[in-house]
Amino acid sequence: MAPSARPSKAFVKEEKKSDDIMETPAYSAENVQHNMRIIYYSRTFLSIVGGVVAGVLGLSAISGFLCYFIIMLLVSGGIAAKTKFDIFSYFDSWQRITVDGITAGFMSFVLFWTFAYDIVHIF
Amino acid sequence: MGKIGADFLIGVVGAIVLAHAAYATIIYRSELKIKEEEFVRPPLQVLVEVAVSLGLCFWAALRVPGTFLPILPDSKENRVVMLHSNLDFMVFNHRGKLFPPALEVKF
Repeated sequence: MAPSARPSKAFVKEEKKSDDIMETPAYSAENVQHNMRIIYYSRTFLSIVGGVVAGVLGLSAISGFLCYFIIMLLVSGGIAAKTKFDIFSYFDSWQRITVDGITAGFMSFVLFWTFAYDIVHIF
Repeated sequence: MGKIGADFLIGVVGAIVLAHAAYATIIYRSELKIKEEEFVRPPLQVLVEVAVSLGLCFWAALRVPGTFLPILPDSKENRVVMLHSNLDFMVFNHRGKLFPPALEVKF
């Protein structure tokens, strides 16, 4: 195959280092942290409320854990609604609103669940 | 100043309703103990109160911590519209010149 004539340098798109910058957008770090702190507060408060609800209703074992995951799903939906479903202008990935903070709230949930269950059903 | 806003009060009301639901369940259980019946499920009134308190607490939890701030640097709320009067420590010769300029620039 005959080599094609090499076009002049003005028309060849060379790989410049600045092209990489297009792939990693710059975020305002303090706003990212601010948003994550809001999610964390919301999830913690609703974990505590969810724990008391599970205790009052007398849920035990599987249904209690199910209650926690349902509440966390609703919180994720609520956060998505709060951003008016324009998630990527407030967060940098899906994980922030779906997964972040669930483990942290779980301990509070179990604590208040045990607490409320004992107060309402045992003592 | 409105530091204790309406949303915070809604959260407090939600917590009070939940506490009342817990109290009603305790009373219900003591009645069941007198009648020697098994506890299956709290009465309908308690279920309604728990649902109402969940709704109020959800509203408060999503409103009280504050609004989200946009993270992209070229959004409307993140515009730098004023500079300090002392420019001695402001550097303009930084790596920002490598960013391709946005084609729609609002002035």
